[in-house]
Amino acid sequence: MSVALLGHAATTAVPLAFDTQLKIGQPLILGIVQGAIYGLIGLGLVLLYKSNRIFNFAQAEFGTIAGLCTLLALNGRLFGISWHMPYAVAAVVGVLIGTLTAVATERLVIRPLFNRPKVILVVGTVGVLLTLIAIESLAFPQGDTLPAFNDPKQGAVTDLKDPSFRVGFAGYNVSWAQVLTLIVLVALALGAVAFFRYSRQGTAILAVSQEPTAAQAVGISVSRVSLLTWTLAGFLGSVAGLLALQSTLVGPGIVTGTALVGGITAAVLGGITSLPGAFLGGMLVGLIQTFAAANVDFRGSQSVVVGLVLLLVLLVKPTGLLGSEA
Amino acid sequence: MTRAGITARGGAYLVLGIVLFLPWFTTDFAKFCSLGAIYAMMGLSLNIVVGYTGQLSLGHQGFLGLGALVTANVVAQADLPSYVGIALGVLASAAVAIVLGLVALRITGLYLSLITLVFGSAIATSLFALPSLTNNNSGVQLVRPPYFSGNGDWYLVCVVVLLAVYYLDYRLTASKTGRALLAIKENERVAEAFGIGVTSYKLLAFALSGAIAGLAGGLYAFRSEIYSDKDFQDPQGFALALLFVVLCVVGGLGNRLGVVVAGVFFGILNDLLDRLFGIGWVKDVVENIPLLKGYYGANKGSLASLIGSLLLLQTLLFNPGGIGGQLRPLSRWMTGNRFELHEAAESGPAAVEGSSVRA
Amino acid sequence: MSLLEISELRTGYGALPVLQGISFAVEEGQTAVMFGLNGAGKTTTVNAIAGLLPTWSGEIRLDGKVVSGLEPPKVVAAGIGLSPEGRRVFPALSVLTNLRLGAWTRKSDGKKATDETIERVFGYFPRLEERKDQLAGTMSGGEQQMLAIGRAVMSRPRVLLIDEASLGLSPKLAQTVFQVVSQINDDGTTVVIVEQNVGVLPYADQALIMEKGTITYDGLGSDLEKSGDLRKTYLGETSGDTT
Repeated sequence: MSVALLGHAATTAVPLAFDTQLKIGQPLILGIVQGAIYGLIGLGLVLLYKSNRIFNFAQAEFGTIAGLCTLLALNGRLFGISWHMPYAVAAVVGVLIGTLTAVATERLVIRPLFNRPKVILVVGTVGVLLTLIAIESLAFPQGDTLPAFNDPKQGAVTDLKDPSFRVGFAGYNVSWAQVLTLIVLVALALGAVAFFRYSRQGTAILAVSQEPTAAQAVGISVSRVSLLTWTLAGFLGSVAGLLALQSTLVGPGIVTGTALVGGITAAVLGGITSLPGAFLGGMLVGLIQTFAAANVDFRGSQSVVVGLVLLLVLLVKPTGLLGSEA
Repeated sequence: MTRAGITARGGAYLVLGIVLFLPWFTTDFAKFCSLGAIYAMMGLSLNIVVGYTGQLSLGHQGFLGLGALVTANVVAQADLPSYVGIALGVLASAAVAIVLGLVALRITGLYLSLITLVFGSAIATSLFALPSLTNNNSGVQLVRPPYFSGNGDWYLVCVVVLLAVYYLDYRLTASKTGRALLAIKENERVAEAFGIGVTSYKLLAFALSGAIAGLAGGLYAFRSEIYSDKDFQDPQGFALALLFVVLCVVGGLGNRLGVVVAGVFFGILNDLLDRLFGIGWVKDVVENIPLLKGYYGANKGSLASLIGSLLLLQTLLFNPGGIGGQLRPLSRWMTGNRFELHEAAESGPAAVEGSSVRA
Repeated sequence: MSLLEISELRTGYGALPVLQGISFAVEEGQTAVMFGLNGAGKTTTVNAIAGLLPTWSGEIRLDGKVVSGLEPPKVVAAGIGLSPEGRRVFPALSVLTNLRLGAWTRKSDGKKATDETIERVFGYFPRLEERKDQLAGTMSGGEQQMLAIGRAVMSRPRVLLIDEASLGLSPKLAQTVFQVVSQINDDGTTVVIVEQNVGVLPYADQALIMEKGTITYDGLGSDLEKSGDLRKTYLGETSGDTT
């Protein structure tokens, strides 16, 4: 091999050689951001598991509701009146309606089925999921793109290289929306720790989760705690949805399709009752997925790898990584 | 039973037979009816896992898809007779179901539901979408066997197969195997103490469920005359998985007849809605109703799924016996018992709670 | 008027009746002990009084006011505290947090009042003070029992219900617990205690015996030993009655 050829290969990108940025750097960043969203969905699932001992299959769909309602608030029209709310207001409206959906779920479906077998409650959440998706499809048949939170035009993202969308970082392009996702994740994680350690309501949720009978005996209203838990879970799901949907086409069932399985896997990986575990699990699932997609060359490697990891965890260590009540 | 009773019941069966035969005279409607029969089979398949082993599967569309995939490729690509294709589809689905059953020996309850959920989407994104099995993503065309080429003919095939599966399922419940499965569902340890081989019976239940779903998949591929993985990719795949759960619950958990009725209903629901909403004055009215007017938008099928999900919630909250519970007086009468409304009221919900699933 | 009055109370689980219409009353400042075999309905009785089970018929009155039919939070606020069967402490929370949760319905009294009550509980059970930052689930059975009773005291109840105070404890530890309960009683709290351990008898002003969902003995604690009813209950000497 001639020196000239070697020199040529060294100065230009080598298509066949191992590309660190493509195979490690990029998946790392993408994985952490994706993992943050799984972690938020997982956190809501863990909360509800603690309070009702079930998986809530509608958890991610609260996020779709939040996304669609934010869209509607940004550019809405009803009875001939049209409005354009600022992004922050629209996001609050979206999160509020997403949270209210969770509250309604608790009141209308979970509460009446409280004392039935757990699988009936699980099927109930499946029913809620189907109902929400069907209503979304009827109300928003074509869907629309949710602009990124810092989009000055509040329209579709036209130029992904636009510095107002992206921040340069050691040769990588990271969007501000991705940065926001991480900031929100850290803020909510700290908030959750503080809430469960120091607040009265937070301790009540833990008490009901650990010993429902004793919690009742000291006068904690189990049904009020259940409502509170669903409110928090709805809030977390809605926030996760808005973050997942930044500059994405929002359609019926979108957050469920992209983040539900990841979120549930995150929760199980973390030990299903552990709040820090959900974050950790989310990160792991996110990273496993993006690394698999970048490095394993067959179709559907993402979902297959996650499925295998889940199977392995459940077979080998069903209590997950941090499987304790905390 | 009195002579009049026998005559009346005979008449009822005759009417039922005629009604089942009627779609043969149609073309488009027969295609929906065969979908109804296929859904009914899927309901029975899922019912075996839910009703007999007490586990909730959220990935049964994977078995349907596998049956369709194998049948289509064997018939169209390997050029083998259609019955060989269907048989191989049944075997493949049963084999994969046994693997899942092995997992179910270790993992139960909510976690197994989760595994099945991931299974359904993972098998669709990986295996179902392989270019070599999907004719480079353009779909595998296949021709129905001679004599059964019309929609109506294929519908009759589906109905006959459904009746056979129904009978098989009925024999299973009445047999020693059925009682063993129920005992395992009630209390695994106790069953084991009585010498019931828990492992083999559980695997048998999964294998049977997978086989029925694979059979339904073969019929499904011939019904559409093309195999495409798109039907099984999320979100459609997930929607199918949930639809099968809806069938089982709305039909009445563990209730064979109810599940079949629900399957047929959801199979033809889209067509019924299409006909109803196509009527001029209905359209004029509906177009002014918020939400419902979305039916005329891009997602027609969502009205059917809204009806399905609301029926599901209604069943859970107010009518735990499901359709099967409602039909119980009738089905008891058809099998030679007295027609008693009261009996149904008592046994409906209780039967469901009794056969409820552990989680 | 007695402080706690139960009249014609009927209740059960699901459709299954357990209590067949029982009546008894406990005077203010007394300790009542309820004996009976497993399945006689003792736990059902105290759970019903605490509002954990719905009352099918009959009435429960505290100081003349009807408390049956109220939700548990209202019952606790009205002045009935329960230390439930099986030492149900909150295992992954600290001893101190367990105690603070005991004062859940006493939020309006302020932090100072709660801290005073915690001191009072620590006075009864010095062991809890030593372990106040430990997770409740890591403590021994006896300590958990103390915590469960202490937590019930935190709501400053007028009637303290204790379900199985000595189950699984050594005879010596059981005596210690009984002594503290009698001290709580001396400090002005009426106590109803469910027991199988006859060692509690010296502390009992009133004794009750339950059999198959009914009350078969209601009298002075000091009379019970002489009457022989207790022997009958536990040794099955009741004529013509198989249990």
